Amino acid sequence: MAPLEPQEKVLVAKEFLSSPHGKIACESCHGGNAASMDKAAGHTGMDPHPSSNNPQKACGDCHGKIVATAKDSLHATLSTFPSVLKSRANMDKWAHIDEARKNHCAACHTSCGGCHVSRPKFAQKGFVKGHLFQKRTDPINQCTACHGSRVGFEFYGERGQGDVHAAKAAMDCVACHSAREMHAAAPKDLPGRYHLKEMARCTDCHKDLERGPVPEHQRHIGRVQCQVCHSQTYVNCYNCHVGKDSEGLAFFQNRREVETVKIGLNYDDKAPGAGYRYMLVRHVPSYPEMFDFYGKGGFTNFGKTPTWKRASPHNIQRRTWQAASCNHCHGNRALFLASSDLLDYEKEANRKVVVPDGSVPQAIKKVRKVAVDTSKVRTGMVVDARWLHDNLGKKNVVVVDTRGSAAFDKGHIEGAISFDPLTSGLRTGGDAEKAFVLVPHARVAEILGSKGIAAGDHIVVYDQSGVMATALGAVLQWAGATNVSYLNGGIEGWHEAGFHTSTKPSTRQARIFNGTVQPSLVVDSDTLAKLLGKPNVVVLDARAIHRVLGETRHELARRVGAIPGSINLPLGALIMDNGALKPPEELLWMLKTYGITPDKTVITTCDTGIAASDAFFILRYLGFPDVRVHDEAWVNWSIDR
Amino acid sequence: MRRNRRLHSAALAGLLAVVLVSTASASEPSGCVTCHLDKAMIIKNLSADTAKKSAMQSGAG
Repeated sequence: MAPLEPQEKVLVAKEFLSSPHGKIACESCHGGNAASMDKAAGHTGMDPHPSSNNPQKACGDCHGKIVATAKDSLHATLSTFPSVLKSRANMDKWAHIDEARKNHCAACHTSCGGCHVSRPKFAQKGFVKGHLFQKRTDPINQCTACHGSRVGFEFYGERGQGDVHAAKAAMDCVACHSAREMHAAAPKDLPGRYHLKEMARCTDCHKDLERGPVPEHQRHIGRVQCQVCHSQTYVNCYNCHVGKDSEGLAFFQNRREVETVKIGLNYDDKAPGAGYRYMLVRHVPSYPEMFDFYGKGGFTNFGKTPTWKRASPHNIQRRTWQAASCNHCHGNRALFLASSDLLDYEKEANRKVVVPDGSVPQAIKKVRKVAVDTSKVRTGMVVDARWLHDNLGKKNVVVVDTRGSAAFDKGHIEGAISFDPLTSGLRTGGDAEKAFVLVPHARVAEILGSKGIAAGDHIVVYDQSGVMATALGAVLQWAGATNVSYLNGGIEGWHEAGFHTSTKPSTRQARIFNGTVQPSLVVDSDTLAKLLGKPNVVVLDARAIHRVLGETRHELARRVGAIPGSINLPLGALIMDNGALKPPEELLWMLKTYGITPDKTVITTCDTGIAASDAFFILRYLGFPDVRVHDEAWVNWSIDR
Repeated sequence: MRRNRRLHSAALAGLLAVVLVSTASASEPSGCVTCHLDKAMIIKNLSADTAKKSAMQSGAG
């Protein structure tokens, strides 16, 4: 979600005046002195957030029935937060805990206006459409403005493939989470949000599955939560650090995120519709010292409430890796939460969630195996931390850190050079006639050579998320480098393997790059247009789903949309959050479900060529013989066509 | 008869209130609308955003 300019936040659209709410005097809701033309006098007594501060007065006169319940809804009150905190608390210290809650947790609540007029306060507010009221909440500017990482990213494919409800049916948040649920009053002392009886459930739409044609439904429904089979990997958070900065501003930081799937035992089968035994669980970032900034010893009952909690990832797919074959789940101990997954402080809290060995479903003897040919995988294109550690300093091994100088200076793999593919001149700028396309090969070779990189080196690229590193990997291959590898898991993988970083400055002597350009690896829009519709040509659009749906637009794109016939597979499906790659077998299987197979020519595209380059690199690694990058990408396509 | 007259007066007062409210709409010229429809004036009058977030915040849910 792009930030709003300060003036955009408060600029009223002319159309508002003729809308129903435009017929109401401003001061009726906001107070203040409308007669004054002086800013200070006009704003005296003015309430910028009337529906938050006094929903009954602001909205209740006309929408009385809705306000009567919505003022007590979970969005308005976050009433389950205190319930959970109290379950862990030493109540003698509740004042400290509650202060922390108000500073760090309560900021997330919203009001009528935060869903129907403006971005929520927590998301830096501002009118979504010039103060025009919208009955249907905007999924980008409102819902996912707060429900970002764990919902928005997963739903729209900024992590993973995205959700089938968005990708195939263009459903937004409200399609499932209707007004009935959003406006429902949360009963006092509701133990958790899943206990709200109005909460959306899969079975609201998908009815009678146990009597349907899918045998797996008949076997699993009632025992297994739907998401266990239909979710992709999702993110787990660890060690939320809260406090106030030097300016006294409250902040929270999630110190560690891990993308996994974990199945736990259902510890809370009293929640409506949750009678199953197995469910997905997500690690929440709570720990006993979390609120110590406000006073020590607050969570003396930490063991009372699980830290691996029921999860409902918003990344549903009909076909997932764990459900692709029975024994991806049955007998797969690693998929089920084990004691060894727990940190020392949370053993007691998750006693009921851990799946004992005897409760892991046994492997099935005769199963249909997933048919994927991994023999063509170019294994050398991906190296792990151990390999790099053992080969550091060897002749012609050049390690390139693409995170940018700030991250590099804080700590990098010793001997690595810093090279930011975005700012190093490899591509044109946003104001060029063709924005963000690769500059001529001679110039690329000159830039690479100036950094001490030669085409014949074994070049290992790394970063934080894989995005910039694999994009550079693709450019290097186009420029003629013959041996390029990506460090799987990037810098986080390096740290996790137990290896240290260095802050020593590190550069290489300039050399001649001396590579032979591979022009066939890049196609322009004219060539792509001629290939559209040809048999055995697939266009892989690596953008997030909200781009393809037209809910957002790159600022340089002339219009929203997608290249005709292209297949949307968001980049997040190919690289995990921390830059780690899923096993080749899993990636090849997933690509096959989209009809993207190595027997086809695959042309990758995106907005500006970066995600397309990433997808190119990963498909090459997976052994696809004919992959090409549409470097002009959507930004230029949308202008030219 | 007196009761009817009272009801009549109350209804008229109610109607008047509705008319008054509906005429004092946002679309009427007022300080609010004059400024908030005018981008240049808004920019001129902008004050520092007091709802500053900590630079140490790692993001939303």
